[in-house]
Amino acid sequence: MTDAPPAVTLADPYSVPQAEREARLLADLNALTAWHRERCAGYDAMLRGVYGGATQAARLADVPYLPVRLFKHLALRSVPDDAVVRQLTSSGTSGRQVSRIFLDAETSALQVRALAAIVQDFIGRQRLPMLIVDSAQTIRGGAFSARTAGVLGFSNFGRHHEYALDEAMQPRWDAIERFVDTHRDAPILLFGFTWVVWRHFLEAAESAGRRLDVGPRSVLVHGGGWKKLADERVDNATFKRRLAERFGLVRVANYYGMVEQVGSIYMECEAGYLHAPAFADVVMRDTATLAPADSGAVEVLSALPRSYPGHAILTEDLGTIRGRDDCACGRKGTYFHIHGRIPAAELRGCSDVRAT
Amino acid sequence: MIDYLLAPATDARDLDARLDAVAAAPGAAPFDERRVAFVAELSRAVLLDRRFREFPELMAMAHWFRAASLADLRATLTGGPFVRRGLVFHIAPSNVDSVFIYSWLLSLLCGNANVARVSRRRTPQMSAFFETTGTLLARDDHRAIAAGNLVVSYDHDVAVTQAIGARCHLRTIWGGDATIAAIRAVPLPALASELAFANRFSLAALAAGAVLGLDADGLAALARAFYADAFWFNQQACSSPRAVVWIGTHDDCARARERFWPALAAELAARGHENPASHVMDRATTLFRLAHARRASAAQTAIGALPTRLLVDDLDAQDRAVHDGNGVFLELDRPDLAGVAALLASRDQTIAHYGFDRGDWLAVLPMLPPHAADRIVPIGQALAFGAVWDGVDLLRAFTRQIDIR
Repeated sequence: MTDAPPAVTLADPYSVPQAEREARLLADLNALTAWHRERCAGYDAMLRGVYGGATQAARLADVPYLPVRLFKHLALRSVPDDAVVRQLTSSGTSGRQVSRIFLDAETSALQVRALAAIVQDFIGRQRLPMLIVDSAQTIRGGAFSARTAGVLGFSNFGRHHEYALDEAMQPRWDAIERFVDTHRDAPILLFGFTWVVWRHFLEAAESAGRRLDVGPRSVLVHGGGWKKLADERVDNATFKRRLAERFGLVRVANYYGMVEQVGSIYMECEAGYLHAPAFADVVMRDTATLAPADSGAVEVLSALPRSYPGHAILTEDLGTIRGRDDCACGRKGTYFHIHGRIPAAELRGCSDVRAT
Repeated sequence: MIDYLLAPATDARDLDARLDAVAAAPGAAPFDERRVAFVAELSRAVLLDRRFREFPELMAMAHWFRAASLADLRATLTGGPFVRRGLVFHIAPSNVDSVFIYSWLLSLLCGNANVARVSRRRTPQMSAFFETTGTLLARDDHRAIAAGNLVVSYDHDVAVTQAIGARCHLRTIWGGDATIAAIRAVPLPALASELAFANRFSLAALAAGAVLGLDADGLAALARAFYADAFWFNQQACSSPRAVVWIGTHDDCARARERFWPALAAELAARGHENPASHVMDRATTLFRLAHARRASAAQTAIGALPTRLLVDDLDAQDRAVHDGNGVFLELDRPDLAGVAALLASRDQTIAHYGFDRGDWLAVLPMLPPHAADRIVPIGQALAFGAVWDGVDLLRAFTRQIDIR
């Protein structure tokens, strides 16, 4: 058995050029594949059955991956029960199965440090006054969802936390205005899930005729997916324009991430691209053949997961690589765009007749 | 909300009044000549309508109900005397629309009144079918039949299921363990009975030697037959093969696989079979789930490939539950049919076979577990409907036999 998990470098996630970071990441991922095969029998069985057992990859695209839906069907973990300190679940809509991700202390700590390394590169090391665009009740709620994990994770980068919404998801305008007033001289950090910011903060302000001026140095970080906005035909540019108009928010950064790989998120830069940190990367796969391509289904790679075999996951999102090492923002490594989800076929899944 | 897809002309506004009217409609004797004439006419209308040409499953249905085969069907109802059951409640599957038509028309032929619940999903072929049927039922000479037949769609609603069930003499649930469980929670009158067709698993059994002996045309014909069984409904039908068992020596089985799958690939290409990204993801997920928790398996194709194949040495309950269709095949080798019989379980419904005859199968029937293999049919006929389904003679189920001495 491999006793020590591979060490991973988290500091300075955007300065290392692609060739160098890829070599390092490949070694880390290969070590993780071996690590999980020794500790998760189901993972080992899948690798033997699907990949024929030869699973040490010569390039990132060859690292054996798992389809993301497996985490909804199987309880995959590489640590004993008593080492699990936290179980994350995806924020699935009611009735649908949710992903279950098992974290031990080490993976959990790595996620916190990784997130810090990423976010500090974008908003600086200083803790900013933080307005959380959600309700305190959401965070205190029972299930440890991606939304809870996101808010708690990002809370580490703020101080003087204030919640912008009440338990009915209505804006607490008095509290918000007091907060903005109190911190008029400093930049503030706003954080929330994309659709929550859209529906419960921006649209709510528009229909109530409220305006704010948070100042040009304040920054909004949001993530969690565009599905609900896409349904209403709201794109990133529209979203940003209206945030600037209504709140004076000019620094807005989306991020792409998922509960299956908390910590290694892909932040949107000033030039509008999502960036891979050095300890993570993306591979796009043609949606018909799953062969590596510039555009297609997004596979996410991360050197963080130790307690569950989730270091290479094929998602059902669609994306396009826009370049490597040469983004106008100056960050090295892969940068890309996400286009949404693979559309569902007319009748999906089991041949069971729907009772509904 | 209830959508009425086929309904008698009525003044009744609410469901209860409509159901009362259907229940009170005059019934008929099994194979009453007006009912036979209606079904034969409906069959002819579908066969002659160009709109249905591109839907082979509806053409097959119409062919099955043509006048000549109705006479053969009637001849299978021997003994008796038989009378109608009364009101039959059909709950149709959403994935294989045409099943509802067989169930409904057979019951109609048996002289019953019918209420059918069909899926809300409206495919072009089903819309066309309801239009054709509605036109026919609106005619004066079919008025008595129209009065006793109602086809509805509604979201799962216990009150509606209860209202229909309370008036029925037989409830027929087509497929879906979850649906059966949900519907069974709604009580039936003491005198009513129930037929439930659960989720099933099906497989193909191919004689390796026979496949190796085929010429190019024969191989193409075999691929065409297999395509019909497995891909018409993207393996979503219970009777579509999800596992392929090769019978012969290991060497012959390996060589037969190498001959067969390229022929199927050619058939898929010739048909321009659709392969949306979501199906690729479904197959990828299913492949990993099948490989999980088994000691040995070996993928024969790339992840997500159409078809995706996984070589295994046994089948278990997990395989039967996890398999999600859309073009995934578990593959096994067995030396003989006794080996195939030993693989089977109660979930297994249809064996589509090639290279064997009736006698070969009769010899292994005593070895089968309860409920296993309700149908053993030549490859290409896995989806072909039979009036004996899952071991149930539907004509007898839709009628009542009276003991007169």
